[in-house]
Order: sequence, then structure tokens, then C-alpha cells
Amino acid sequence: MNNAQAIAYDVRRKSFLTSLYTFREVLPGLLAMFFIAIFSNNLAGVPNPFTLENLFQWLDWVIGPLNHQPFFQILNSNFVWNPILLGLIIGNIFGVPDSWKRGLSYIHMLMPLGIIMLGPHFMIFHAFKLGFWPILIIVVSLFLTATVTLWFTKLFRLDDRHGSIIAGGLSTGDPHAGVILMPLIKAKGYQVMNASIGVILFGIIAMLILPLIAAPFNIPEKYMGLVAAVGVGNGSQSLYAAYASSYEAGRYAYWFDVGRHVIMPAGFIYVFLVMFIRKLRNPEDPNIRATRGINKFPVWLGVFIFIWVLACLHLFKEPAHHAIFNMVKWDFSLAAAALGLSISFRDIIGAGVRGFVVTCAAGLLRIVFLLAAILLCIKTGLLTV
Amino acid sequence: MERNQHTTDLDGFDYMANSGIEEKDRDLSGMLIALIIIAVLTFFQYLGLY
Amino acid sequence: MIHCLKKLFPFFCVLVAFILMTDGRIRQAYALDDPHGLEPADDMTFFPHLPGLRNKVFKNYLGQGKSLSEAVVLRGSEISDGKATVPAGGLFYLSETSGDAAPLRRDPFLLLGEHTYLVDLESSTYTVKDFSVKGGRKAQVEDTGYRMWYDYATDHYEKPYAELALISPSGGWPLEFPIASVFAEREEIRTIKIGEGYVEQLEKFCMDKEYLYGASRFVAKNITYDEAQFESIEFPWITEATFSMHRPIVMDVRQDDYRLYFDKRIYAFRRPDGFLVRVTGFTGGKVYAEKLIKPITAQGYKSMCKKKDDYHLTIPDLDIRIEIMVQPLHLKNSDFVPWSTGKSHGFQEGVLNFVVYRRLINVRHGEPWPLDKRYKVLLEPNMMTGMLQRLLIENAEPITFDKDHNTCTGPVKWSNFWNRPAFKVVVDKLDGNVVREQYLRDYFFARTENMVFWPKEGRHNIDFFIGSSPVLEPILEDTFLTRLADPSFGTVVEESQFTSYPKVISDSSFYEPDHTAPFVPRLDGLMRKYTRDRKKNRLISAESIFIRGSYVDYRNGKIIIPPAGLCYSSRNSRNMRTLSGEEFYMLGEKAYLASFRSSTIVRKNVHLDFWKNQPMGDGNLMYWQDELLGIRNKTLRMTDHCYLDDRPVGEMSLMKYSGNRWGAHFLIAQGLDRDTGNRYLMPEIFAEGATWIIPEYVGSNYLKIREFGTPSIESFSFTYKKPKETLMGAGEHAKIGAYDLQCASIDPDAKTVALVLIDETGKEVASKTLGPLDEGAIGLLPQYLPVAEKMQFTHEDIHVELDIYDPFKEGKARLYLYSQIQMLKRDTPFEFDDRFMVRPDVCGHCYQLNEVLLDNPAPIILDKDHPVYEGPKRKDGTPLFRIVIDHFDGEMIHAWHMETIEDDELHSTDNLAFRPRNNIDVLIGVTGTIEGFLRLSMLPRLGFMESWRISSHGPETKLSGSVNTGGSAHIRR
Repeated sequence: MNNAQAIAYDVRRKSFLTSLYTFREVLPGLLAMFFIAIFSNNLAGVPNPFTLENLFQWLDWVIGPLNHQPFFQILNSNFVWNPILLGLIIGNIFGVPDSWKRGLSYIHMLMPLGIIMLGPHFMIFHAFKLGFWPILIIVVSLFLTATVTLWFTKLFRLDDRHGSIIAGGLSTGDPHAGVILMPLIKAKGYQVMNASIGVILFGIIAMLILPLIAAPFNIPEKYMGLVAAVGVGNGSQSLYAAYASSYEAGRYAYWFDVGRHVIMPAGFIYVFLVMFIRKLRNPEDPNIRATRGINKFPVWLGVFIFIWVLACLHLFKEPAHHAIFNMVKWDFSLAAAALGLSISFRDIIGAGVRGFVVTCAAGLLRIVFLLAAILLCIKTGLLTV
Repeated sequence: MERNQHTTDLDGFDYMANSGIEEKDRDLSGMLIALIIIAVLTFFQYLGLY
Repeated sequence: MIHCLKKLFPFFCVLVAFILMTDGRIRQAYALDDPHGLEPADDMTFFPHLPGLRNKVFKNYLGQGKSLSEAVVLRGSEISDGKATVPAGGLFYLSETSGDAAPLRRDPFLLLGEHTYLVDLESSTYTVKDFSVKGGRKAQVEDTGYRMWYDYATDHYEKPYAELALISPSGGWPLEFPIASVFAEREEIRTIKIGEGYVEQLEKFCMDKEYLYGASRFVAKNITYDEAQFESIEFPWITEATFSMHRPIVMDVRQDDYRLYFDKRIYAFRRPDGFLVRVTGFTGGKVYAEKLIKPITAQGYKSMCKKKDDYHLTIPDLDIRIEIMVQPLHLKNSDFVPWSTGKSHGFQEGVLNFVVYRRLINVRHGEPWPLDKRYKVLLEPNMMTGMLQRLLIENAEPITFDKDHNTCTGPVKWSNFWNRPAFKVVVDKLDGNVVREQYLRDYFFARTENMVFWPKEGRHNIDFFIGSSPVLEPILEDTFLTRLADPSFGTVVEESQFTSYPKVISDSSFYEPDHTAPFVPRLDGLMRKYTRDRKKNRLISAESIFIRGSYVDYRNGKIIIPPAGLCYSSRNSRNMRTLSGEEFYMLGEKAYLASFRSSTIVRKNVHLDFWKNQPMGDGNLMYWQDELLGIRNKTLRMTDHCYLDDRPVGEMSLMKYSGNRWGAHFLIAQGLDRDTGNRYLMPEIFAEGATWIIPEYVGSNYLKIREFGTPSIESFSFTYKKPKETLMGAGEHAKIGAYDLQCASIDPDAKTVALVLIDETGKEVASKTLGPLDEGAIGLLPQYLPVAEKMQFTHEDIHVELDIYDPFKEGKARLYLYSQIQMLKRDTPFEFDDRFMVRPDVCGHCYQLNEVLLDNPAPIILDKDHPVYEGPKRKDGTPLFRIVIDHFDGEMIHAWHMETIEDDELHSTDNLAFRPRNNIDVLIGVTGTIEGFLRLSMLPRLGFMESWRISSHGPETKLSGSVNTGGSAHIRR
């Protein structure tokens, strides 16, 4: 935000609601987001069958499943990526009319909104069934991956914002997390896209090589599921890797995946905290760009953590959890549409392949450590077959 | 600096820029809406309305 | 481990096949050249979904919903030397409607993916005289493509009765019918004069030699164990059907004026007996055709061949068919169509409307499909109504797949835009005698997954069933249990839907377990073994455990099993008979049946409401219309009705306490007897074995029953000590328990044996003369209790019985001595564990002991603090099993299992909440009761297995007996 813009806002401001502008100003942008959203995803309350989601589903049927996984699921198509993709296409081919831009700025309101509403989605106790050691492996893997990725970021001199997004996406095993981290890290849209593409591409590489790497170790099928869920992540990619190994591994990848899923928030909060503290310690370092502009711990992140704690106390029952998650889908569909419109292909490519190299280096290291840890646990009897 | 045509209009308004008081206001709006939605949906579920 | 099981699966299949063969149900080696009426291979691949195979509910003119479904099936294939061959009739497309599609009702029908309407049918009756079929076989009925299946025979009073089914070319059949040639006819039940309440056992056993089923009629000549001979078999036969490929055009009739239909005028001139309909050119000059037609209403008789011509004007040259229909709104609440729900498409106002069908396609049974001569059409009638139920389009010539020909295109489908093959079967990677890759691609270009689940091993045939047509249920009759028990994929656990209102059941009596309850076919500690009776018949004695009606009370964080929810069940492969030396298992220990006390429960003037299925939004059914027959015995339910020529046909089912249905549904209608020239025949009363219903009035939503009777059992006695067989001559003694048994005299001519029981002090404590085992007695044994008791001598815990099959040898009597007899009475606490009650169940045919159930009279509550519950305890105080809740968060059960201890070894099921559950309903072990539960939930279970196999979420809409109803709540129970 340039200073002129900030001053203009300060002059205009009457209350916090001023940030929502006037209805006339925002309507075109909101409509653009709305239509991109409803043509991207099958959203609650919208019976529109002509969505990108359905198109991908049909293409999945045409291509046929690969190791039981739909092709576009392997590519991580979901309710965030579909509108981003549609937004990207529209923005890069037709441009973004100026009249939309006030409305599109709602993305900044929608991001905290969506992230807070994600709170009830992560019920820690759903993972307790996995047992202590698998949970420990999942948790350690998450923090270690994030740390190692940030370290590689430094080593490869990657923009730290870019590196943080990779750390979030890779450690949580879900490129979603990159989008969630975006407002916390103050990353650029193209960095998020570049990082996410890198994480997805690495996921594809990992899902193909993991069964080959793991084969000589004769890891019990059940724990091959754990290796896939943690070492590959990304939902269908981990299932692909597990099924490539055996049916039973696939079944248990589904079982262990819940562990990876429920601690996801810890991943992006951790990355944020590390970068935030680093920035606070080095206030003047021009190479430290992540979280620049955030001077104190964001209140809304505190609210998210509060809601997450409530979720862990089982305040939200399943029907409420699902209803709230439907609203999350709506929210992120709208926000992702705005994000997609904001990014040019050129910028995404311009972010280079260094991020991908960092992803691969950290991801491969994770696989190696993971295999070693699991083999050790099996040898010592900590993981019972 | 060249205008980013994707995000910035002719008046210099960049919709991807977010800082200062405006950021705080946007965060506050988002937070309030999120809390209202969560509270209403949870409360309605407790009341058995869905 | 699963990998090992996967490898063992072929052996498992062989074992099952071996068991079936040695069980007397010998499967016939059928000639490959005619697969009609046969099912695909036992290991055929089933996929429930492919986008091009539709499942839809469309309404007809009367507002009646018709569940339409499509499937593609391949059967009878063989692979050898890198070639896969499919015989003629082996590959077929199948379209099915729930109920039937009849002319003059605007009934919807799917035709290769197109939503069409059946407009006309030509039908008749096919009659076969002097037909016979051997036991266990599926004999071809001439060259019709139909087969008569002699499933099995059982006996009463040592005389046979049989269960048979007439199988359509697709492999579907509506029900198995019981028939016999030696028992009382059903009408004879009217001659019985009997009081109300609990009364004595009936001597008469009813089993008619004629089975009537609407348009089908089977008359037996001689039924033996080995062969069923029929005097005649009659079933409906459709020769021709006409479909309209488009929605019809509907417009008001203006009397003595015309309406424009594109460039034609359609006039309607009012006449005393209908409308003279005239079709002319645009200017009215050229008359194409005219005919007097009558408006169509809902009366069913109008579909009769000789009547239906009065109701339409068909002009083949113009490709139109004109009918006049009454606005459906005006039928609402009429006497004839109480189910009519509103107006169907096209009707807006006015009372009489032209309905103009166009794009007519005419197909004939057994003749080529008009768009593709490689395929021919088969029209399968509904056996009851004679109207169209299924349409098959099958390959006319054999098909061969090999390296160079890996694709076979299906029949060409009609389309508004592009006529193209409706599907494509691709068989790749044929390798010697196996195939490693195979899939089906539909006309949307969507394909299935590889139908070979284990490509390394490959498959030895290319049979499959793709789609979710209900005809799969009868097709899988032989193999569904094996398929559901397939251990290759571990214990299949379907995730529950978590709602604010999970089901709550106050008492689980007569309920069945949740249709998504996990099924565990084997758990060590539960017995399943062959036993032999005195006649050396091999019987399977098995135990099972099931939980029904359990739920999570998420507001209080508790798991509740309502009263009667936790059941232990012990059953044999048929009823346990007295005087036959039959064994069964009682909590893992072998028990020997001595006798039981059963009677007949009779109710008169019963009002029975139609069971309208109105679950309370939770999928939880209520049965408040049920009429109970005795206490915890059985309940009568009116499950459905239909009309045959506007006569209501009532459908009832007799539910057992266990939640299982007894036999098939009963169908009765009044006024459809054969003397009045009806095209449909239906019995007026129901009488099968010792269960009968004599109705006063059969209505569409109400039945008044004049008299109803069925057996009830009060107690049974048995011992854990193996009975001793002994030959005793007059004056000889034998030790029995604490007593001395003395044979006082034997009269081989009168066939009597006089016995005296003497205690330790030498005092006579009891005596009885067993017999006479004369012709009259033999004719009523072993089932008729008053006679059976004459062959038995019981005193305190002593029981002696005469061998009724081989009673005397060299002047001595063959006796069986039972000691330590104990009696278990209905609704009393179980001897070793008063937390459980004894609930014996009786056969509705023969009064014999059917099943021994133990269940909980009080609710069982499990929560975080009480995660373990012990099942019924045995004599040594150890429980047969334990329910262990491993992880429960107050709302979702994430992990629980059932465990047994046998020989100091702990045996446990898999995690029965591998996917989170909101109840702990479960089926463990295989008995007839479990099989019944599985049969009702067969399709949703098999459908879900596909999601389970690939670790995807279960489908939101589930398939079931009549597809697309969002679960199985509607299944007629």
C-alpha cells in the first residue's frame, strides 16, 4: 500500500466499517468473485452444475483413476485451487477491470474470516486413536520439515516469504496452508502460487519415488501408510504412493492422514512465529521480508487459536463443524477468486525454480529422516505391527 | 513504478495492498463476521435447528 | 496380513465352492452356449457407478415415482490362450424400472441413457406343460431363455416341499416360491375351527401345489427331493414394445376444434363414447387419419391387449401417437389413484389433454435392436403384472477379445445429436489364461477403474456387473455372502453420518441392525461347525453376535444399546427338530436338543394398517402399525400394496423377534380367482405350513384380518452331556443320571416300549410306555409334538426317547438317554448370567426350534468411564465376548472392537470404527439371521465396498433395492 492510499483511507475513515467501502464501489468486484466462485466449486446452496470442479470430475472419469486416485485430485484440485485457476485465466486473458478492484479488496477481510472459521475443522482428539508414537512422528515431522525448509531457504538465498510459504505447505502436507500463511507472512500472490506449484510437483515426484525408495526396507504395510501420509502428504498424492506399495498401505494412509490433518494449524502458526520473531530480532535487515508490516501478534490469529482450542474441547459437534466448513468453502472460494485475478503468469514464472529446489531438498530430507525414524521405531518395538 | 494492472486501478488503489489502519479494520470486520457465523451455526446446532 | 489374506482369497473361494457342492447344492456345469438366466462368475467385478449408466426417479402420468436404473453386464466368459470369449447373450445392457412400465400411463423408461416413455406393449402368456427340474439345477424352460431353479427342498412329516424360482434371461427373479404336491391345499385352512390366543399345535400342514403370482401360475404335479415336476408353468410374455424417445407434447383438447401440432391440425370431435380425433395437414385439407378414441384414466384393465386400441391413434407415417388424458390434478384424491401426487410435466389447465408422443421406436422380443443389428432385444415382464420390467440388449453373436481385438463396442444408442455406441468394453493385457486389465467406457467417455483388482494375479474371466440395478440382488443370491465375507479388504467399516438427531430406539425388539453395521464373518470363539443328526444329515451349527439399535447420545457422551440390542444367536442351517438327535452350540459349548414346548398363537379380527414408512428425519424407521402375535414372538406388518386390474393386492411380512423376516412377503388379493376370467390370479388367503391369514377385506392401505395364526415357542430343553444310544431288551437296565432305567416290556407289533425309572433306593419314581410308533404316528413325526411326546419319557433332568427311524433291533428297543437336562423358558433370565434373557424363536412352518437368542432386558450404557461390557457369561463365569470401546470422543466412536478369549488366547476383531461411527451395531459370525440382515442391505454394502477399497468417501446417495432413495430406509422389510 502506498502512502497516498493509506492517507486517503485515513481521511475517509469513519469507523472500521469504512474498510468495506460503499456498496456501489464494491458490487462489481463482489459479483466477479461470486461468479468465479460459483463456476469453480459446487458450493452449498448453489445448484449450478457447470463448475470447474465438475469439469475436472468428468475429466477424472475420462482419464480413469491412477492407483485409485483421480488425476485432478493428484494435482490437488480443490475448493481453493479451482477459483484461483479460473481467476488466473480470466485475469491473464481479459485483465481485471478497475471497477472490480474495490470489491476484490474484500480478500483481506475474507482471509482472516475463513481462517478463523477453519478452527472447528481441526479437532485434535480425532487423532488420538492413532496411538502415541505415530502421533509423535507426525508432530516431529511437521516441525522438523518446517525448520529444515526455512533453513534451506536461507541456504539457497530464497526470498524468505517464498520460503515460509513452502515451509507451511510442505510441513503440513497441504498447499492450502500456503494460502493461509499468505496474510501472516505478507507474501506476494505469485510467491504463493509458485510455492504451491512447487509443493504439488514435489508431491508428484515423492509419490512416484517413495514406494521405490521404501521397498528395500520391508516396512510393514500398515506403516507404509504412515510413511506415505507424512512423507508425501497432499491427500490423494499420499494415497497414490501408499496404494502403489500395497492395498493395506493405502488403507492405513487414509487412517493416519487424520493425524497430519488435525495438527495442520500448528504448522502454519509455527512458521509464522519463527519468521515473526526473526523479524522482530532483525528489524532493519532488508533481506528479512517475511511478516514485514506486522508489528504485533495479529489479533485474528489469536482468535483462530482460541476457536481451535474450543474445537479441541469439543464445543463444536459434527453437524456444526460441517456447516461451518461449508461457509469456509464459500469464503475461500471468494477470496481465492480475488487472489487468482491478482496474479500474472509472468510473475509466477519470474519467481523462478529456486523455491522448487528448496522444496525438493527439504522434502527428500524429510523422507530420509522419516524412513529412518519409522525403521527405528519398528526395530525397537515402539511401533507394533 | 509501473502500475500492476491486475491489482491497481487508475487512482492508484492497489487491492492486494493491505496495511495500516485499513488492514486492522479489515481484520476486525473479518473477525466479527467469522465469530458471528461460528456462534450462530453452533448455537443453532445446539438448539437442534439443523 | 491382508496381503496374505488376499493371496488366500482364491483358496477361500475354492473352499466355499467345495462346501456348497458337498452341501448338496451342487452347482450345475452349464453349457457355455446359453448364458440366459445365469449369473456372471462368482468373482465377477461389481462397480456401482459409471456416469453413463443412469439412476433416476421419474414420475409417470399418475405421479407415481419409478426408480429407473441401467447396468451393463457380462457373463459366461472364458479365457484361454490369450483369448477371451463371450457367448451370445453374454454381454448385455439392462434397463430396469421399479414395478413395471405399462401402456397408457406415460411410464418412464431408460433406453441406453435416454429418458423415454413406454407407450405400447404386446403381451401374452407363455405356457409350458409337463416340465421338470432336478434338485439344485437351473433348467432351461424350452428355448425361452428362462430357467426354473430348484433351489432346495426340505421336509415336513418326512415329506418334501420345495423352494423354486423362475429366472428371467437377465438372471432376475421376484421371489422364491414354496410348493409341494403332498400337503393340504391352502383353502383347507378355512375348515379349521380354532379358538383365539395360545392354542394347541395344528396337525394340518398347508402347502399348496399351485402357486399364484398375478400373471404367473405354477402347478406342481409331483415334488420330490430330487426333482420337481410341474403340470404347467405359465408366465407373461412380451412380444413387442414401443417407446417414445421424447417427452410428449401435451395440449388442451378443444372440442369440435383443432390444436396445431407443428404443421398438423389435431381435431377432437365430441361423440357419445369418446372423441373422434382427426389429424389433418396445416390447412385442414388433407386428412392423415381419424379414429374414435376414449380418454385415458387410471383404471388398469385398459392396458389389456384387446382394450388398449380404444385409447390411442397411432400414425406410423407421421411418427406420432395421440392419446387423450385427464389432467392428473383431477385424479388427485380420487378413489382410483389415492397415491397421485400432482400434475406431471406438460399439464397446465383444462381437464382433457392431447398427449402426443413422437420419435417412436418399436422393438420386438428376440429381434435385432433397430439401431445395431449386432445386438438383439429381450423384453422381460414383471412376473406379477405382465408389464415391462426390464429391457435387455444383448450380443447376438459370440465375442472374442484377443491381442488384436481388445475392444468391443456396445449397441448404438439413439441420441438427439449423435447416435453412437452406448459403451465400449476394453480387454487389455490378456496373458495366457488370465486378464490383467479391463474396463468399460460409456458414451460420455467416462471409464471404470481396472476391473482386475489384483493385476499381478489376473482374473480367469472377464465377467462384470456395472451399474446399480436392483436385479443384482437375485443375481447375487448364491454369492453375496461370499462377496461380503471376502477378507481381501479387511473388515469394511462405513462411516456414519453425524447429525443433530441421530437415531434413538427405546427397544430393539423386532429391529434389524443398522444397514451400515460392519460385518465380521469370522471371530475365533464363535462356533461354526458341521454336525450330523440321527439320519446322518449334515447340518451347520453356528453362533453369531449382533448389536441392533445402538446409538450415541452425544449430548451426554454415552453409547447406548437399548433393551434387546445386544444379541447372541445360535442357529443351525435349518430348524432344530426334536427326536432327531440334533446338536447346537450354546455359548461355545455343544448342546443336545431334547424337546421344546410350542403352540399356536391365533388372533382374530385384526386391523392392520399399511406401514407407511415415515422415518423421523434420522433414517430410523418406526413400526407403530405392527400387530404383535404373542409376546416377543412375531409381528405382522403390511409392507406394500399394488393393484391388479384395480383390485388391491396386499403385501405383508411376518417379522421375527430377531428383526429377520420369516420367508418371502405374503401376497393376498380378493376376487382374483381363476373362475371369473381374470387375467391375473392371486390367492385370497395365505397358508403356508402352520402360518395362515384369512382376510375379511383387502384394501389398498388397510387389511382386516378375520383370522391369523402362527406358531410360538415357550421353552426348550437340552443337555450339554452327549446322549447315550442304547439297545434295551425287556427287563434290561441302564444307568441314567442318578436313576436306573428299566425296560419293562417291548411290544414290537404294537411298537411300544414300557419304561420304568427307579431311584437309588430302588423306588419306582416314574414310568411311561413309549409309542405306539405306528403308521399314523410316523406320518406326523418328528414335527407334531403331541405324537413326538409319546416317544419321549421325561422326568426331572432325565429324558429318554425312542429312535423313530430305526426303533427295534432283534427284539430290543433303540433308545437315547439324556441326562442333566435343563429347560430354558422364554423371557426368563439365562441360567449363568441374569443380565441376559432367553428368547427362543420358532419356525413359522413347523413349530420346531429355529433359533436360540440371548439378549439384554435392560439398556447397556458405555462411555469413557465404562468402555468395556462383557457379553453373556458361561458356566465358568467367563464371558463369551467383550465389547471394548477404545476411543470415543463423546460424539464419534473412533475405535472399538469385540474380543473373545478361547483357550487362553485373545481374539479380536479389527477396529470396527476404522471410519468414525455413531453406533456400535455389528454383525459377527454367519447364521441364517445374519444372512437375512445382509440380504436386506446387500446392495448398499456392496456399493460401499467399492469406496472402501479405494479409500474414498462413501457415496452420498446410496444404492439399495430400488435405487436412489438415499439409503435403505425404504426397503420393504
